[in-house]
Amino acid sequence: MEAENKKSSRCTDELDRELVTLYRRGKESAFVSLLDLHISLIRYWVRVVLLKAYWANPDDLVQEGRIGLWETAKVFDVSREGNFDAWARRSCIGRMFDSAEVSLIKRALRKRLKRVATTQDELMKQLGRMPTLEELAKATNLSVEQVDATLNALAAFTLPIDDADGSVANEDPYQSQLLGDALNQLTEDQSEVIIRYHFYGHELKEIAKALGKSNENVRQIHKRAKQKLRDIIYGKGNRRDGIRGH
Amino acid sequence: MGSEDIEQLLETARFKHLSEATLVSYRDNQLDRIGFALADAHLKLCLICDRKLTILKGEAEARESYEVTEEDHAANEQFVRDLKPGRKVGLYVQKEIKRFKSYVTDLLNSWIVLHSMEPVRGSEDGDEIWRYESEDGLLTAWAILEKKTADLTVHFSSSELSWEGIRMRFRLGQFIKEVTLEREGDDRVAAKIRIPRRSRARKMKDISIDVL
Repeated sequence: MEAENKKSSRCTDELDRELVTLYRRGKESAFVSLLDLHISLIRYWVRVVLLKAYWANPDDLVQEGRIGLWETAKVFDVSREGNFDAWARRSCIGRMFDSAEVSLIKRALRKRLKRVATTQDELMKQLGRMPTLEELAKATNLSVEQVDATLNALAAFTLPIDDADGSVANEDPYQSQLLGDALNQLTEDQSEVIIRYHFYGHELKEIAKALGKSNENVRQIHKRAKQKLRDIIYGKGNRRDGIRGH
Repeated sequence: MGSEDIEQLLETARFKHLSEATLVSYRDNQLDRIGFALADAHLKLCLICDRKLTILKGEAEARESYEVTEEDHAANEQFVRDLKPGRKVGLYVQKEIKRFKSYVTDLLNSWIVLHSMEPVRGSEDGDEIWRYESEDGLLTAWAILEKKTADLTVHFSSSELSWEGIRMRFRLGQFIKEVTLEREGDDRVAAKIRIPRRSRARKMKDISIDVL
């Protein structure tokens, strides 16, 4: 198996768990195999990090990634659900971002990152579409190149920026789950109309045309879908007349 | 709560930045129809999440195509060899030592403050005469004046397993001893130093601990 791993860096959750278990039982070669399986991840993120923190030592970053994997292997609960790779990924990347050389960039770019992120959010809401680089540059008083570079930094430095800066409205997993569960209880037509109208911003008549239904039919589907969502999410008694149920 | 709440909930849903977990699921086609639509709608609006997705797609491609080299494998083997107790994983150990030192500085201050005020005696032999616990509870140390012999024993204990193997040179007056933090059970590292009565310093605040 280990020889096989040397040739390929493809991993599966079952294999990860097996190797973690073997390592914890004292088989050191199992952790070497685990490292072999995840070295591609570590090397990719070292490349991403070096694009911005070009002064960092790549060998040190790779070592940080290895330590991240080792820390995950020590604490990961193999008896429970949860993807080892996802945990390891966060730990490896997190260690690189937290290293002294890389964390410099967070401080250096902090103001600009926040400015671009906040402005992007405002424009996204105002325009109801993805803003162009030029629009973002104009709104932030930066050049297009500066905006482009800052967006790349924002995208690459996912973990620390999200953690450090609460100004950006991030997905609330519970709310997403609640909404997703509620939408899944609608009929296919109802959820399709809600998705197209509210998520993609299509007009009702466009939706009617796409679904091959009359405008009035789609309007009724939309109305019923919203009422049903309201009943599912807030309870049946919360009606439009404001009288709350039990 | 009524129609406005639903409208608002639906309106704001597409503007929320996607979590990394959602982006990874989107990339790997692991979202259901609704989850996909929510993520997709946001990705059509947001430059930041769109770029994050590009990086994650790059990650998937890199992982798919990467071939582990002999150098990778050798370096990984070296890393694992270095994890053995007593061996040093260069950068990592340096960082852990630095971290441990900051705790030791705090610990020494606690000792010096106590022993600068007045002579400390246990009410009975065998008493704990000093105890230190770091604010985060990671490092605990205490000193026991042994019954009968009047020897002093200083104990160090921590749940930080990465400190295993760290060596300290402990000095109290003329008494000097080197000790290593060693694994104690599954979840702790510990060390203890026994200072015979005849070696105990008159001035108990004359202490130093060098992390080696």
